[in-house]
Amino acid sequence: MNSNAKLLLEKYKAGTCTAEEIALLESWYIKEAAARNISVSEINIDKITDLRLTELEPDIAVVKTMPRVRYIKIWQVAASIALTVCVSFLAYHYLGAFDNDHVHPKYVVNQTPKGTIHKIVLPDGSTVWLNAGSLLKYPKTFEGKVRKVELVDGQVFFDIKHMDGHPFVVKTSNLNITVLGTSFDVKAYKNEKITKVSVLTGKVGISVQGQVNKPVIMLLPSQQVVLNNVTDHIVKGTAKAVAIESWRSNVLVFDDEDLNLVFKALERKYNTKINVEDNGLLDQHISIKLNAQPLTNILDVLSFTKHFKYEMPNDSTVIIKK
Amino acid sequence: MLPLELADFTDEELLKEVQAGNRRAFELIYNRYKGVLYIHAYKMLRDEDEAKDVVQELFTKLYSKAGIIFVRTTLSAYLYASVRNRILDIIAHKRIKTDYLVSLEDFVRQGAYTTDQLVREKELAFQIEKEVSLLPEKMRQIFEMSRNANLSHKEIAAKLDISDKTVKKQISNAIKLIKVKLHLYGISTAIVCLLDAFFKDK
Repeated sequence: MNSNAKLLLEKYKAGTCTAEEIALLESWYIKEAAARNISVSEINIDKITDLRLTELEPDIAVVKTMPRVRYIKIWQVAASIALTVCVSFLAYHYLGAFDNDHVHPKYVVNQTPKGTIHKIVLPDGSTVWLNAGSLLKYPKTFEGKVRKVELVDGQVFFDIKHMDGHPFVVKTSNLNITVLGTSFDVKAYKNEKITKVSVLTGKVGISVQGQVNKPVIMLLPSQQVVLNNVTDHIVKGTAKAVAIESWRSNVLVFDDEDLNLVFKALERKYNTKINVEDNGLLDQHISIKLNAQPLTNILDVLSFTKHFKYEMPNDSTVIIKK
Repeated sequence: MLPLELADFTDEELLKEVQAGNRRAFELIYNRYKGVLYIHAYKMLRDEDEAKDVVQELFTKLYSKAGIIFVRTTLSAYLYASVRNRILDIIAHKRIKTDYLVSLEDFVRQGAYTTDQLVREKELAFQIEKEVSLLPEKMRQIFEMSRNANLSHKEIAAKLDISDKTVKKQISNAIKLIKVKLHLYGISTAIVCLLDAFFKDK
């Protein structure tokens, strides 16, 4: 009876919900919170005043049992340094014990805030670039036959080292991308309707999750697939090399993309919120190359070519008008 | 009127201090939020021990992960989302007796929801913060004063007619300057804090 609800909650925890499902669940939660009343007589004040950082107590204990050195100032400083080392050491061990991920940290989670691009080297020597607002999860060391990483959110460019017999697999919420040694880009922002895989060099195999029996789609350089996350409709096409890789050097290249995606990319890169009053504008397509420059310059160019007006009431808001 | 006391720091400034290893800053964050988070958890779960565990586990994790936590908007939004996710987890695993799953099932069937993520974030904050009046007097004051600290940057900016970011920058410059001066005397911030704790009970 409640299996759908339970499944939704589990997907939410696993981070595999669609944007619509997230909105649904979070809206429901707010409704439940609003519907529940509580009065002061129901609250056990003792419980609140009892709330202490108990799990962190080990380092407080250390502070109290330290020998008291009072006479020579330098001793006190030395003791403090020893204490710092001691506390850090204990904190590392004790705190870790309350968090399973920390006892034996098997995975690294790399997250980029808006407006920044991270370049990281994976344990196998492969290099990846995380675009703004991305989250990539990968093991501390690759074990077993398959090198597997998970793109939870965002856009990542992969430059993968070839290792005989050890394919490299990127998992997104709806695709499995398998390669041997190649460079390619995966764009899977949760707040966008499409997942896009574009190949720069080498050969890439793609399978849609949950469709095991369907043949793997093979991609060659300058080819890409676009998967509609809502309908699961998949389209194979071509992509220009410059449009695949240039974001790594802070250059945004759009090759016949709709303005909706352009604005989303600008929001992430400039850490701003773009409100569009005329939705008709969002479907218009544009091909443009935008070098690193102030947001106002870019908006000037876009508003001129696409005939709209814009306002910036503050540093973090743009309003697009007809 | 620069906030030189930790207690006057905004949540985000405190989080930066925590990331730099300042334990006291973490306690301040804890004292600001434990009350509202507990009441919210209790209201949703109706189980005192579960509610207490939710809050304590949440902060234990925050402390151990402070270095890698990325706060997208505000620390409060992060904490509220975290407490919600923990409660959802408890609901999913039916650790409490409620009719939540039935209610969720109905809600999914109706299919009406708020698409704007920022609106949802604000509504959640409103739902959690509206219970602040139920807190014990002193805890309520701490929470409300922290709201003022978060507001004050904007107020200073409004009075001086400069942008909020400029004010924050000047404040953080002032803090940096103080740290540099401390270092000139050979005192690292961590050691200052520890010395402080070391001699407190004398």
